[in-house]
Amino acid sequence: MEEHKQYLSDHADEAERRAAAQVMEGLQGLRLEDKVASVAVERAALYRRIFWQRIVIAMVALAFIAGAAYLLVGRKSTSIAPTPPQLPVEQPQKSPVPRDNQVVPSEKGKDNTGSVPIAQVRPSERLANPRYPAPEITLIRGDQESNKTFQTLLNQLWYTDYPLRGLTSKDPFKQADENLKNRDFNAAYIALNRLENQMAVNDTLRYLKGYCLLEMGEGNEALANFDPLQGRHAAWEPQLQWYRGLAMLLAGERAKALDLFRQVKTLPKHPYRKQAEKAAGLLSK
Amino acid sequence: MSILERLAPSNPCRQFDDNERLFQALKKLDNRAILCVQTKAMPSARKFAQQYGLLPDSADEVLNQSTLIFLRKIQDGGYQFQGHAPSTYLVEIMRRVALMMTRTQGKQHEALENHHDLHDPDVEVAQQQRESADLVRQFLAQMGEPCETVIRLQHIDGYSDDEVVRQGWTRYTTTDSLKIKRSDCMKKLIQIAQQWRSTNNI
Repeated sequence: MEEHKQYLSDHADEAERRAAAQVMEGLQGLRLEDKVASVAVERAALYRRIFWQRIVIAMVALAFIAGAAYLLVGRKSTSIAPTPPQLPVEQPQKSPVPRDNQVVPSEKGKDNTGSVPIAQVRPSERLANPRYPAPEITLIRGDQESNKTFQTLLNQLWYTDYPLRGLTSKDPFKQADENLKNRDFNAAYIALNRLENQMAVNDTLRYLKGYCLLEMGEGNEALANFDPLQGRHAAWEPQLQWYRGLAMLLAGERAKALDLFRQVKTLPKHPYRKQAEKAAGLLSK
Repeated sequence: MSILERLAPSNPCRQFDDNERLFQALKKLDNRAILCVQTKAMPSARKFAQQYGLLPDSADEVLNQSTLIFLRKIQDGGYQFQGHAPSTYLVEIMRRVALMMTRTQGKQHEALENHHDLHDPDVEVAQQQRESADLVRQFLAQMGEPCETVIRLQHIDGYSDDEVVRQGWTRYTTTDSLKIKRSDCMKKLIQIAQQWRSTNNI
């Protein structure tokens, strides 16, 4: 900044000098005030940036913790993933199949009371009840005693969930996808039929339709859609196997279903191994 | 400076390796340097605001007022670099400013009991400078264009004459004509100030 003396007149008196000094002081003050004000704006922007950085870091940390938790805990319970953990553990039920000697594998321990202490049963080994009931067979086939028993059996095995594993529903399937998520299967069926008229039949459409028909209680129709999909998509395969088993049951192909469930229960990493074990137990003699 | 401070992408202190470099940048009124000391002193500003019973959002005001005094002390040579972190001096000023603010707000706070002598020359000089700044702002507005811009660009915004001419911010196309005009304007400004002082018997 320039010296104020240069602005003074040749014979400046004391009053002029003091006025000049005050002006220079005021200008310096203005300069510093402007500077501090502009830095205050930068500071506010900096704190906003730091705030968002912290949010992002917190989210990344949460994602990391969630991932770690999934790896540690989630994997153990993968086999019961289709059902929520808060559902009550299934009580032993009388088999709906008119054969008295069949035993659910997980219930064998209860028959041999005292051989396995309760404290040794690991929570992840337990299989909760299905989240949703099976389709109302009695409405379709009548409410005879045999159908009621069959309904009970299906309710015990109806481990279905949506979205379908490994399947990403893209744009044309949005409506059907939404209906299936809301478990409005009639609306979903209409939406899928409309799509069938608009596009060439493809695997996604088949799988969605198969699942929809399964939930509507149409075993044969569901199988007709599921069967061509076998071995075509590795990501779909485990769930497809389980759904085919359920569709076979609905279609009355009990022996075929039992064979399939027996195969599945021997695969240690199969996500539906526990369910298959239960199904095989309930269906076997 | 800690490793974390260095790594943080938004850390304003990243470019100031040592206290002396920071002090030299503060002397030049470098924005990043001011921001650096402010971010270091901000936690203390919040602490003082709380300790002296000021409103929670007074921390910003404490920091800004203290920064004004701090920068003026550096400009005037009242604060010389002696190897210490400049932010420690700013924190000391903040403590005094927070105390003065408590007094002006009429707070009866226990923190005041230990401070019988509330006279603070630095704060008073800052207050006097603020009054002068307000007056000069009025005088500049009274003078109007082009004097207001010509004086502002040099004495407030801190631009060199070369820069002002190059950017064409005024009607003056050479540094000489700009200097002559500014000299005239400054003389007028001093006259206005002198007139105001005599009117007010100062």
